[in-house]
Amino acid sequence: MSTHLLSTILLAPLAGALAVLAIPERFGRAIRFAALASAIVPLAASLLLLSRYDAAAGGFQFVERYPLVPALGLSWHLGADGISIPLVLLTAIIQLTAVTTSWTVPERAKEFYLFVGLLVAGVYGVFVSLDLFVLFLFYELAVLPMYVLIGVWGSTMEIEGRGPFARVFSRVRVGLKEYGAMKLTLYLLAGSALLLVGIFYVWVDGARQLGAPTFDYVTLSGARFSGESGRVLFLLFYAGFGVLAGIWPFHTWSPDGHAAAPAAGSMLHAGVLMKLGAYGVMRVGFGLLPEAARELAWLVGLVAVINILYGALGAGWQKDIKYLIAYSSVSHMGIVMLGLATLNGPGTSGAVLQMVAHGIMTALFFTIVNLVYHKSHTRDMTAMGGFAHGMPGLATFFVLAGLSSLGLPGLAGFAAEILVFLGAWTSAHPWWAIPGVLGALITAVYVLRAGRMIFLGTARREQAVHDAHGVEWVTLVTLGASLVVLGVWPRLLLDAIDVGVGEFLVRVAG
Amino acid sequence: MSWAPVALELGALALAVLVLAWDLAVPVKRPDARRLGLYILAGGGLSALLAASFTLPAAGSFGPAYVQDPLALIVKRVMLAAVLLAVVGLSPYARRRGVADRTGEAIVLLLFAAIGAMALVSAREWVTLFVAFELVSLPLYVLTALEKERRTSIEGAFKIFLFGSASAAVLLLGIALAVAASGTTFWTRAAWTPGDPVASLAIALILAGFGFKIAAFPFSLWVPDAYQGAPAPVVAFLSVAPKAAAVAALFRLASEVLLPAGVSAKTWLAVLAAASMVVGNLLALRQSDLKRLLAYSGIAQIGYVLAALAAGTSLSAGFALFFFLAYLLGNGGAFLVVAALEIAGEEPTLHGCRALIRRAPVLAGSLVVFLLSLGGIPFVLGFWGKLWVFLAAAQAGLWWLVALGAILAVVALYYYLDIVRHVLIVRDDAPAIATSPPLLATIVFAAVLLTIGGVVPGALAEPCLRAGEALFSPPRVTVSQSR
Repeated sequence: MSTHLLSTILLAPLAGALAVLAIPERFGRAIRFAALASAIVPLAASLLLLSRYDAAAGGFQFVERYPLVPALGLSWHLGADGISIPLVLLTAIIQLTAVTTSWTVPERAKEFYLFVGLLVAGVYGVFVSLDLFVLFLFYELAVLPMYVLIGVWGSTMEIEGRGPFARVFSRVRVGLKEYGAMKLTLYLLAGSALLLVGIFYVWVDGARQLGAPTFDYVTLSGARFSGESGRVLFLLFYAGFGVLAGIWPFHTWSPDGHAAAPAAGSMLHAGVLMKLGAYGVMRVGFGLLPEAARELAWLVGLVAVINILYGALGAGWQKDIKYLIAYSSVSHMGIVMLGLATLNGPGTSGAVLQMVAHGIMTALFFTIVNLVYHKSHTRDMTAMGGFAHGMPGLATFFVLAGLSSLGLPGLAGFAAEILVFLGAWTSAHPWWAIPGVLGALITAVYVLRAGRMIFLGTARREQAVHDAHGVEWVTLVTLGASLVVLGVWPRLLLDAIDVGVGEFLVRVAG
Repeated sequence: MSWAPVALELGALALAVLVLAWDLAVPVKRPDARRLGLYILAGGGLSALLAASFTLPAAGSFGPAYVQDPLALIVKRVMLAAVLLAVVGLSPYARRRGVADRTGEAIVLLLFAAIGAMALVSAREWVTLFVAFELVSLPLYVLTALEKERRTSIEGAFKIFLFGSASAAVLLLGIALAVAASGTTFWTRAAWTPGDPVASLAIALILAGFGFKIAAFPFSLWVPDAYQGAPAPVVAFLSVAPKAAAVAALFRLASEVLLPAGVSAKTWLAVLAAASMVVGNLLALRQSDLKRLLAYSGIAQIGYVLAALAAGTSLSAGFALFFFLAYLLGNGGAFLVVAALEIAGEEPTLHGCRALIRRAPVLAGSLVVFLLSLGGIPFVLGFWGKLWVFLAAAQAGLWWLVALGAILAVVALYYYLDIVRHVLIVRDDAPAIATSPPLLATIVFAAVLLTIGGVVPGALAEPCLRAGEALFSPPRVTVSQSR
């Protein structure tokens, strides 16, 4: 089957970025519509991917392959399987809503959409690349634009220092958007430095085993990296991609970065970029190094459990709503990693579904939180209250996202989490399920508490808060509807996911 | 005997004499005529030489002491381009600083230094090497002190002079020992005794002497002060050309002296590389003066080249050359932007480039490209340079160096991104910055080259790799033991 669907998905945001660059600043509307078009094309194409994916045949489909540097074994090799297609769809949904949520971005709109386009192209690239080196390039492309997005369009909030590190926090000015931007970028690039070393090692050792140098994922799957070097490689990939997935203790960039980022930035970052990290651990770490993954699954699971609890407790501690959502992302990414560590069918399928569910849910959270922030000019929950009177629509969607977050049946989060916990219970370490469920419980506490503090009670502030209007509804309804559809009908994605996960586990779990 | 191997040097010499004559002949009272003439002479002459270099045979030698192989030819082109880069910036800079009457001398000195650098890459005999080494150094002392009325200039010049003299003495001692150990000044006729300790000592001293020229830690103490004191366009040359020539010479040494002498400097070079990366990157973190920042970052960058040199394969020679081309464009371009800032009366600091995206969008965009290239970010040329240097080190089994370099590359991004932050993110109402068209055109050209090279690196990598192969052919090194 010869199609260019994947290239279309990949190049649409780039083309959009170029178009935005070409349109003069004063045609603001044209710029926005160009950005919107560059988001609708991948969405349509990814729905087409999902419907045309042949689950019976399985494997990588829609493959496109052109050699780039044959001497080094470098090629433009794209392909999607049951694991990556749902993630591409997720990215398309988030891209669309990131554009609509920034519809009224006040200044330098042109540059804004340019950087968003570059970032999204990088994300698509990572999900569909089957060449490790090209994947790495797209990974960097996905990470870098966020520096400028946060730096220019982010929001600053001085966090008053508390606790034992109060003085350090005020010295380095935690909460400033510049701080968040730099921290996020350096953490993620440090991760990519580890990846580069790992990819080189695979390349050198793979060339020795296979007789020819190659970066090709499918070809390299034929090589074996076992023993000591396999474990070191696994740790490189686990830590390198894991930084982006927010694994403890490398997660601290995430609250600082997400809190400082503009709405679209947080949505893209928490919604899809963190998934990119988990996807990388899964595809490259587990996929290329199955033996080491089996040996070290206990570590991945242990860290995941810490993530779930630590993130949930961290979220419960926050007064700033953006920090709260960011910490809840850390906790939910722990569920994804826990699912991976189970090395069984339900757990791994649940992990992939959780990536999609959490991506949509956290994007919905961030867009609501930003709307609340813009309408009330504060991010401090203790200064809010009774907003449900002024913004009933936002309150409704917040509750919807919150219920998905705490795993209410009928919403996307439930299907994913129940699968992960089932997987954990039937894995080699059944006790993992206990802290996992405990995390879900804490999540219920802080989400409900946040909802109460923001929206319920009597309105305390004189200034009138008003509800979402215009394009803002498009964002809210798109994300909310996706949550419900996936919650009621998870088979929509699970059919593809199960095929992909099945093949993945044949390799990894043996 | 063919004259082709020395044609570029002779051409540059003739050009220097012409420039000197023009500078003397046209009276100071007619500054416009002087300037225009210098521009046309130097610009036209250098372009003509660059064009002519492509008609020269790729390999040949001028007697037993002088060789021109693809490596030498590429580096010579780099030298000519570096002079051109400096000349474009020099004229408006000198006018702004009130030293316009010294432009001619400066160009002549730049040309002499370039001739020395060209000879350095072609030398395969100790005395020639030493003379070339000194010929690169001497004009740079004077050029650093071009604005002799400024205290920082004098200080910088004094430092570079002291360190230069000391390093020349060390180099000379090393050469004397090498000659004593091998029995001749000609590399091709040397008769080394395997395991001779004198040879090892000689090589160590020679490497130390070169350490000054390439500004590797711990021979780099002069660098920040000299860069800060020297005119920015001169630094654009100083920070690139002598280093490129010295590194190329080191590769020739590795192939033609170290291998026959049976001396392996791999460990020492690796340690030197690591030290340069660590010290350069960490000290750059705290700088607010752009010239000092770039000086320290340059020390770090040379660490990456030394890592390739430590690998010591024909592949690594080609990759190091490629790295250098990227460094030349990125670093030279960044210093030209600094020059543009100084010409506009803005201070050359982080604060000076605040909100540059609004005040001078083209300059700002180019600066960001240069910094991304220096930082080794994908889709810009510098990424491939850094990547391949790592690859070379990895192939030689220097995994610890690769890991260290990769981590420090992130540290480096902090200060590069900090400049980007001032350029793109910081808001300010400072007035717009105007740049003279030739300077701006050169800057944009360098940025465009970096971007195109970043997308299709193969076009540039091929000749570099061929040059590396020619240097080490017949292949006397196999990819060394690993792990």
